[in-house]
Amino acid sequence: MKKREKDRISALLLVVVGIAICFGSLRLSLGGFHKPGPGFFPFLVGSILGVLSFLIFLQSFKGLAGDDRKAFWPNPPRSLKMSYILIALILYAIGMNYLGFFLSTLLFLGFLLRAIEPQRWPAVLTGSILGTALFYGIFKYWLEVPFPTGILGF
Amino acid sequence: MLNDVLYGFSVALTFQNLIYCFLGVLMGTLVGVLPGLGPTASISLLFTTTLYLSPVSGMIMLAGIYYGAQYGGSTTSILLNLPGEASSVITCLDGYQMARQGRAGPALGISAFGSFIGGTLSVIGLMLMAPPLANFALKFGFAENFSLMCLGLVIVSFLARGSMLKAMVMTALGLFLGTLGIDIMVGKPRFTFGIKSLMDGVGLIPVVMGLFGISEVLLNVEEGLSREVFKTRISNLLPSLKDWKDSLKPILRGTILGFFLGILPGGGAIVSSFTSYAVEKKLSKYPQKFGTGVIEGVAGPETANNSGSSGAFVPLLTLGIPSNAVMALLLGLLLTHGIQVGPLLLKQHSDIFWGVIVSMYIGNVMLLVLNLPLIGLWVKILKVPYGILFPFILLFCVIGSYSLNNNVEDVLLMIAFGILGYFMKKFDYEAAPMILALVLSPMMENALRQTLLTSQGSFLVFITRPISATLLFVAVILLLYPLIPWFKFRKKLEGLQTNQG
Repeated sequence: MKKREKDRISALLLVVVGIAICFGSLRLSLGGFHKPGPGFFPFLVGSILGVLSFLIFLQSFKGLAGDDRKAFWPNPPRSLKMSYILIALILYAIGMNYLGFFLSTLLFLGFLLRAIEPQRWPAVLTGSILGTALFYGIFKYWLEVPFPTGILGF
Repeated sequence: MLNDVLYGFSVALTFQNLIYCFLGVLMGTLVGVLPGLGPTASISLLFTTTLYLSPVSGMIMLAGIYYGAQYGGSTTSILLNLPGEASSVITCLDGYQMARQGRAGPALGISAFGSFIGGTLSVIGLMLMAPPLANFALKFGFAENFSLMCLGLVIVSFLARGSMLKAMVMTALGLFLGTLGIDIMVGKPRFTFGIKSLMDGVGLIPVVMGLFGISEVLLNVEEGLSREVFKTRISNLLPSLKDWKDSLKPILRGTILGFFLGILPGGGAIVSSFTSYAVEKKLSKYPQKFGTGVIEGVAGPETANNSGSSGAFVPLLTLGIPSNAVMALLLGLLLTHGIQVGPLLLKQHSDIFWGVIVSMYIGNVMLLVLNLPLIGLWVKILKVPYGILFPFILLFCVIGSYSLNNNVEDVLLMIAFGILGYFMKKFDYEAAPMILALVLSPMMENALRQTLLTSQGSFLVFITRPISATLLFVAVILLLYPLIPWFKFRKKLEGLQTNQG
């Protein structure tokens, strides 16, 4: 994707965001200059955001923008791996409440160590078990963070 | 003044604070050495743990990580041609070449000494400059504060590495994110979409962790971060007499340059190191040799980035305005402890002010000791594969954001900002202006509304009060600057950054 195409897409998205902010602010009531309401500052900021993004959009049509033709996802297999990490993160965050901190962390570390840049099994096992125990010990017992206990009770 | 410094020593030299200072600089060196984990991300990771400490100890430790990382960052630049920190990018040019010629030792040595000299001298600058500036800022009312913050945000965009327009858009987005949550003046929830944890506003820590921690991991894994340590025996770390003669002036110039650029919002370590390199090249008798392994190209920038990191404390400790993302986190730490940050900090919390400043002297000595004899150890740590490192970085992010309020919503918020950060990087938008705007937003909005309330809706106060008018005038000049084609300095700097960075 060319740089100017990237700019164009992102700028349009941001224009939409700016407009959405302005509408949201209107519903909050702007107040007046003498007594600004809760929507006043967001409206101001939202309109600046929208206008400036529109300028980026316009600028992308000028020849000035450099043309580095670089694929947005240059290496699809690696991008796929990256998306695994993202999925693992979300599942970990949500699953923590059900499986408990200890078990979910064990699975999370084990999966990442094995599936992304595959380590050998002994390394995966020691890494995830030691890592989980260490973090569990520090945060649960030393800093007394109340982690969710989940179905197993720890 | 002398009394204040002695008082500072009495604070910094307590056993507890010495330990935290040491932990800070140790971790700073570590994250500086490890590519893919910067000081901003690591400070946000450790943020929650420092909430259990006293504000002074917490500040001392986090500050230690910040300037410690500038030391560590040079190691990877020189040995791997891979900057551990953005502020060490320029060190790669001559540092790596020196290593290839078998002069890794003097390169590492001069960057440690340069960092030490820059670090300590600039702390003196901070000491001399902060009190008068704080006194001056006592005159500021709401109007002046608003104009000052406007100017600050404009400078951040002005100094942004990429497009100024894009940086301003990110600033606006950050200002908006700062308005989320309950409006303190009328008690009305804004843009919370019924999400409970948004009632108190968007937390700084989940945002920083997402933008700097999570997205960095995603990008690194996608690009397949691989590195090869340059196989060389590092011997003779002490630079020769000739090395010293060549480096002395670059080090002194780097100190001054770094300090003053560090004060500017958005300046700090990165801009100082690039500028120092440009200056040294310009002043050199043999500019064509730069990039082939001249020691001036290492000494200047490495000094400047350390000096710049001390300079960055000036606006935070005197005006309560953070000049970069790390300072924003430190501001966040003080605010969480309920400490009023601004010109009064110096009077009301002199233990924090002088304790932190003096701890930076001590920290710099510790860093010199840590970095020179232990260089072999740091090189070993470099060999930890990223595939083993990144799951733990992620785990740290998750636990850190969870433990803020002990709920999963903050974790999901962080992941969302991780995704946002990933796309921002892909579309070439910088995160730092957004972070600063996010922190300043509530203060700015309050200052604006208070000013308008007292002036009965007139914007004229901003230009009839002289200090406010001056600040806004400078801001307008900077905003109009891109339209002035004959002002070529920035273009040149950009050219240097793209050609050689």
